[in-house]
Amino acid sequence: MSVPLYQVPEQQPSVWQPTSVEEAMHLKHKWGDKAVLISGGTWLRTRWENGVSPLPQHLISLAHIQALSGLAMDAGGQIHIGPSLRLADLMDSELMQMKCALLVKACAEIAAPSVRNLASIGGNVVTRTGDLITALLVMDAQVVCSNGTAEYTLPLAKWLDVPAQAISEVMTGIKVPNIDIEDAERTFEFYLKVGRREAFTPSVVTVAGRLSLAPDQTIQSLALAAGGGSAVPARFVDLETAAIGRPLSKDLLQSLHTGVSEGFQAVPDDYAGVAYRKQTAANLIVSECYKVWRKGGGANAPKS
Amino acid sequence: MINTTYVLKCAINGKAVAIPVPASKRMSDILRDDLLLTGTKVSCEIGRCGACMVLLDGKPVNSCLLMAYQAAGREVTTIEGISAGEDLHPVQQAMLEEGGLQCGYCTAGMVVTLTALWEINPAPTRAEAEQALCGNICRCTGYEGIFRAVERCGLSIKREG
Ligand SMILES: Cc1cc2nc3c(=O)[nH]c(=O)nc-3n(C[C@H](O)[C@H](O)[C@H](O)COP(=O)(O)OP(=O)(O)OC[C@H]3O[C@@H](n4cnc5c(N)ncnc54)[C@H](O)[C@@H]3O)c2cc1C
Ligand code: FES
Ligand code: FES
Repeated sequence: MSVPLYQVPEQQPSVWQPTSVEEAMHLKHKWGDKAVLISGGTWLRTRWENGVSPLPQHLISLAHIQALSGLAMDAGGQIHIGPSLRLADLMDSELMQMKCALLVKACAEIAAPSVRNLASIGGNVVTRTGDLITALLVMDAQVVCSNGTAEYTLPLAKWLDVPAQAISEVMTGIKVPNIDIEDAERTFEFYLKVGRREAFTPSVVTVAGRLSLAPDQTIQSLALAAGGGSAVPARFVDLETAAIGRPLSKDLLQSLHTGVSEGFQAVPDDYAGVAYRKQTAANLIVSECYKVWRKGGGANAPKS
Repeated sequence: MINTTYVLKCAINGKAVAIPVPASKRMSDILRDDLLLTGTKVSCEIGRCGACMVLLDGKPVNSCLLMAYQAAGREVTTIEGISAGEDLHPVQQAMLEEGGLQCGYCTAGMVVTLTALWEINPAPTRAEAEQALCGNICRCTGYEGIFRAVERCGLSIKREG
């Protein structure tokens, strides 16, 4: 038998349904910590049920703010994703399948279809630990946020660097830059999630990468990211920079392994420690780079 | 603002309803406690087991995650709304014929999920069926009876093709 979180109807939160970002922020400023912004509510509800955070007095639903649910490509090929878009809708979108295949792959590995019919991309990113973040990081995504009066745009990686603030902002957009189509044949992407089960539990480790090779087989561009569990996903900028211009080789893979193990800021929990997570992230990234080495025509790539 | 005086207006199993409930009340509680539609089961309460599955505008969602205000103006279909009167839905018929249940606790949720799949893909491959059912946990059957039922639902279509 299900037991409601609060027995008395009067103790249930009030729900506000603003139709603009300004209105949502006005309500948030008015109620402060007593209110939370809510999109699909799938992450928040899990926290309330588990007692990780209390059921707030006010829920400010973002569902009726139309400006938060667009999906379009601009003249420069940049994709604009509304944060309120459901993961299932993103997966179904032809535009996303064509232009953001890595993100579609990442969506498909979150929870089950029924949760993806409710959960939004913005909710995933704003949690700062969502599994979509690693994919978005290697896609060089930017986020747009508003405090109700002014809007700013930041690279997602920079936005994640700033600790979560108590004061609130609405994420109003996620932008993904155009990928150079000419490079498509020499560009390789991967997204891997390792969990205790295939779905439903926070991942132990999530990694994503994008690697493009120059005609002479050297690395032209490289983006690598790791996250999982309570870790805030991050890129390996120094490692990436050091690898550019070099050919894929055993030496390079070894230095990537060491670099990822050392650089990944893993967070332990009852199920997996830091050492395990670091090694898993390094193994996954290196094995994917090795596959690229072989696929990319690396004549000297060893068979194993 | 909408509060405890909120009246949820939506369609449940094809009938328009107007129920006074707190706007944040969970749909699983509304169905079972307010509307006595107890075919929808509740187990984990956090979107993991699929026992509470309903269709929202034809798509499966976990009713333990769905709040009243999120269903406003929309169409909710529960296990009670899957069959057409006395006639069982092909998915229900196949579950019976293939013994796709033991204790039956997961069955309502399984049937709801499979009905949504059947609507768009009546003859899914095993992989498609596994993907669709990955949010429905069964502790009893070992899934083979359930997958046999999925296959049986699609037999006529496969034969025609
Ligand atoms: C069974 C289950 C399995 C799950 N599995 C996974 C998984 O495998 N991987 C994973 O990453 N997550 C998982 N989740 C967590 C969660 O469902 C997803 O991360 C989801 O995308 C969150 O979206 P939401 O719209 O439901 O967020 P909400 O719960 O509505 O919000 C999440 C947070 O974001 C804030 N927020 C939402 N939108 C905005 C916005 N536009 N601007 C500012 N703040 C905003 C909210 O205030 C809240 O703090 C799972 C959840 C469940 C219930
Ligand atoms: S009770 Fe809703 S998914 Fe388990
Ligand atoms: S038949 Fe018992 S849980 Fe599935």
